[in-house]
Amino acid sequence: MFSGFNPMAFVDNLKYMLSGMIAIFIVIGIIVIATIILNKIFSKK
Amino acid sequence: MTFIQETLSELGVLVENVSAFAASGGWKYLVMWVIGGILIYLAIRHDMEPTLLLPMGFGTILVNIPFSGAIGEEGALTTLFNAGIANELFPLILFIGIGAMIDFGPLLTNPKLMLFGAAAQFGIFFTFCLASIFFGTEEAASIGIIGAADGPTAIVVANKLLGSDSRITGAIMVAAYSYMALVPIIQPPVIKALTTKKERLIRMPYQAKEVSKLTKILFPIIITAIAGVVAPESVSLIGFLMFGNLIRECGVLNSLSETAQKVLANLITIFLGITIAVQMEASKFLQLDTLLILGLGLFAFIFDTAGGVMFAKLINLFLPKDKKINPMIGAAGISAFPMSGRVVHKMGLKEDPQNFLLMQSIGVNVSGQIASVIAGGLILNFFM
Repeated sequence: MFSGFNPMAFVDNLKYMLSGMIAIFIVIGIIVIATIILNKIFSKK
Repeated sequence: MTFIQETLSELGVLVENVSAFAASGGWKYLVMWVIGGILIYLAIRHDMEPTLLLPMGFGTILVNIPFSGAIGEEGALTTLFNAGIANELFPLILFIGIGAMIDFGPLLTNPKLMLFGAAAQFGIFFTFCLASIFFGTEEAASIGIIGAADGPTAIVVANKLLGSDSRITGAIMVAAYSYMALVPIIQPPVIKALTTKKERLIRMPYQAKEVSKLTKILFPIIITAIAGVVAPESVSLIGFLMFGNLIRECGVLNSLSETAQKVLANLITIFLGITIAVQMEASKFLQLDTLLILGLGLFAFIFDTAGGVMFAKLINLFLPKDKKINPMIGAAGISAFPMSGRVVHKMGLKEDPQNFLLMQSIGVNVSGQIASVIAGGLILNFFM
């Protein structure tokens, strides 16, 4: 529910944005590496 | 004489019902009927996500009839809601169907495309920060997840963070599905504003590569394990999605795969759409919050698109001239599968009829589906 106007909350929560984006890039990066390895091991010759 | 008296008495009951309707805030119900009508109109006339908007529209009318028997303790819709949405069962089962529909082939031939899916989740986190100016942390996070451009993920995250009886869950669900339908209208102006004509003309020749069956089978299992370890809360979301894909790719469950893609997905969609409408009661929906949530949801889609495009432009700074990426494909990382991929492909063709971006944009689009689920899991991990 609408809880008033608190512009400082934007600044306070930027840490979640940063850590969220870093985490998502790390997870996707690991998946990319895993997929490249999979492709290398099981590629059709 | 008795006949006339009986008729008058019947009419009296009708008049009483109508005055009860007016006394109980009749205009609010009328507004909700109009909203239901608009959803039905958009579904039929403009073919916007008709599988969801039509049941939602009709459901909105059903639950906004005063003293409606469809809701309440013994109402059929409330029973369905408790059985399928309050416990997140419907969206998760729907994910099996979606997983069975997705071909990860274009992504597996060029796994680096997945990074664009990650970048296009920027809108979720940015909108969360914006929403926190007006709402509490959990509510802001649930509003941010509209940017996942993925209805089931939005439902699961909002339900887990806010509970199924929150006043804003309905608005979040409506925003998530409506904006998905509006992707062809929302994305092109944002993409055009952030790219030059020269960038939009960049060609990306597609090199088809064979992907082994074993890779296709191992891919969903490995993704589930990786995402699950990092964000355990995402296990049910990613797990059901990947289970559906495993059914598709294993090669021995073709009839199950077909059922998941068609019958199961259709059945759940029918119930999901009409059941979501339980959250569209006038008393819950007609609030200032709703307008604010709809506005923030639009921001989420815009910043998702911008995140993907800007990331592609950033990557281009480091690539040689002949290997540049068409930054428009970054916008397809917004999930909203497969609309977003098609939008980018069509924009490419509009700029240059010989520029075929379909395979790349669908690859990015599919990666957006995975990334949005992981983002949902991360949000749950942060705030639960």
